[in-house]
Amino acid sequence: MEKYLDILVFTLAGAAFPLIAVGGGLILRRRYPDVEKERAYESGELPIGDARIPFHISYYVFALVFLVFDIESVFLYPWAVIYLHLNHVLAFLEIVVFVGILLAGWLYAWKKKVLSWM
Amino acid sequence: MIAFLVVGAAALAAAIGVITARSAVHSVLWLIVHLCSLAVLYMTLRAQFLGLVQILIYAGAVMVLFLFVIGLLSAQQGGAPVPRAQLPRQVGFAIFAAVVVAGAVILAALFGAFQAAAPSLPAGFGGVTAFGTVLFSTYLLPFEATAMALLTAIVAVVALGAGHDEPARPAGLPVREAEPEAHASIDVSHAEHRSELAARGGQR
Amino acid sequence: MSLGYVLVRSILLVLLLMGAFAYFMVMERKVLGYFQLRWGPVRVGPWGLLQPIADAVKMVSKEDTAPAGADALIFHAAPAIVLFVALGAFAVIPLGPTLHFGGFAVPLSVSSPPSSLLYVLAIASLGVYGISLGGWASQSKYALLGSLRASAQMVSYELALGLAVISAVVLSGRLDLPGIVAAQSQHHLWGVVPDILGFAIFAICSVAECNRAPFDLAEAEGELVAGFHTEYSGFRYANFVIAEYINMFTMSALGALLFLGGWNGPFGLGASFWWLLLKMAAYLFFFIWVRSTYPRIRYDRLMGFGWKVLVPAAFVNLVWIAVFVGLLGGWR
Repeated sequence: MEKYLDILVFTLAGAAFPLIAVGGGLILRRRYPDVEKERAYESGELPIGDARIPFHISYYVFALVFLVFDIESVFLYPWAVIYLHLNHVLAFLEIVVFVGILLAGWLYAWKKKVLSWM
Repeated sequence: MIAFLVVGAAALAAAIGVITARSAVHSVLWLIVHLCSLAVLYMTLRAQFLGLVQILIYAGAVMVLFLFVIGLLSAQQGGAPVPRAQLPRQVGFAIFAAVVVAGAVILAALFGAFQAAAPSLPAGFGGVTAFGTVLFSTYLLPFEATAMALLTAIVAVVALGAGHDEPARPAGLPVREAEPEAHASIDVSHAEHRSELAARGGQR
Repeated sequence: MSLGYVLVRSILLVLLLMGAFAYFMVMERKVLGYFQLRWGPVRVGPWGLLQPIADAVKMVSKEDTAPAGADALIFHAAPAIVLFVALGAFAVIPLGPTLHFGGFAVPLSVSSPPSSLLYVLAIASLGVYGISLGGWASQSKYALLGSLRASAQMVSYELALGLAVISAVVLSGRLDLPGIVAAQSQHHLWGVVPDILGFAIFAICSVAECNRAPFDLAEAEGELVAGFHTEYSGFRYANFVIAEYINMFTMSALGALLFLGGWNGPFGLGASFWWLLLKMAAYLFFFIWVRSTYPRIRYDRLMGFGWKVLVPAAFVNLVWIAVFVGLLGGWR
């Protein structure tokens, strides 16, 4: 636990440096608010409507596929560490079955063109 | 104990932030904070691996999904406040649930659930090696069953996503058709701009 | 270990990191200049060496604007999130073997938790929020598109990156970074020799994870102005840049530690942090080299490459490494 506390100290010390620059710069920098300046930059055109348009569904689908494979990869870490402490052949077969089942799903997704962008 | 109190308070505060935030994206931000606090709590319980996986999966992957879902469904109302009038009806249920949970916790404490932890945990408890050893021997069958569960998830994703490959549409454009009001708003904003410019020109 | 000791070491490391960031940036501009047959920065100071100071002064004194419709909380939090995540991941990177001054041992990492490699990946997976939320909060179409692209891209390449890292874990059987280096020196075999495919996948994904060219779709200046940080100015913008470079340092250190023998010299030439710095510098040069050589990749090809080439290649590589380690089971 103390090891993570050290990380917290380092992160705070490191982040303090640029964040102080943001805050301390208030003294140095000027502030001239202006309607034009606070308008979102669109290469000189006037922004039309809300910028927060609905995202395309592809992003959602890719995030879902990623989630599935991310969970899978989490199971691979303990396996990778203890691979040789187990019976090698058995451990190899265990993981080949596990990955094989998921690769079948991955192939299915490819064939159904879910993995193609748009 | 101090770590537990501090992190527990942070988790609680973040959880309150999730339900009181007026915008869905703020809720997501608070939920990330909450999940990370939970990860730290797991680590205080010496579940190192579980804590890291909590960050990797929940905070790192599930919340990206949440962001995309929010962006997909309610981008326009993303900043719109939720009408408070709908809430009182749920307050009763919430209080009831809170009483039940608090009662359960108090009962558990009375029956000794929160005694001091087992006097001596084996070395490396909660680490990757210990986790893997148990997972790949005792719990091998559930582990392989997990693969089937994940496969089901992929099939579900395919069912969800496969219907959307008909018209090629550039990234990020609205899924629904443009509404006539959109043009009206264009005209209005141009008119606004013109009058703004005119006013300035007058000043100069 | 007292808190004061940790604080002093942290501050020293932060100063080192900021110096490295400043001068790596000069190096990048110089090297890019030479690649394109021009000089790069030469005006400020001898050979342009005072350029980072001029940049810092400019950044601090520049006006800090926010677009009118921006979501104030998230807009201001996003640069801090990016920075926290980058520093948090860097904290467990060991920059060399533990130094000994008399009886006093000085480890060259801020901290070394038991599963430091998994910790780096877990924290790095949070990096996507600073970028996606920063772009979303800006209320600007360019920023939103950039951050959307970035989040989908980082998530996709994170998967292949993780699988490549797992192959290194299989090789060494350890999940802590010093342990992985020790395993490589113990077998007199750098990870890259059997795991060349894994190293290649790692190298490609590390470029994509840092949003660097040719995978800099998040800030494709030709089409999206500056992508997710279009609306950021002054030192808030600088925070994004600092975080990006710290991420590059983390990635280069990871590549050197996992695949290139860490701080051990080739052919048993001893162990010193200079070796690690040399390898990191070579890796960072690779970042610049790639940037100046390849044009930006199209987005659908980027996603296709990630999901249809890198992911299966990483799985094939994993099986190969498992067979390799299993056959040579006695070598460990």
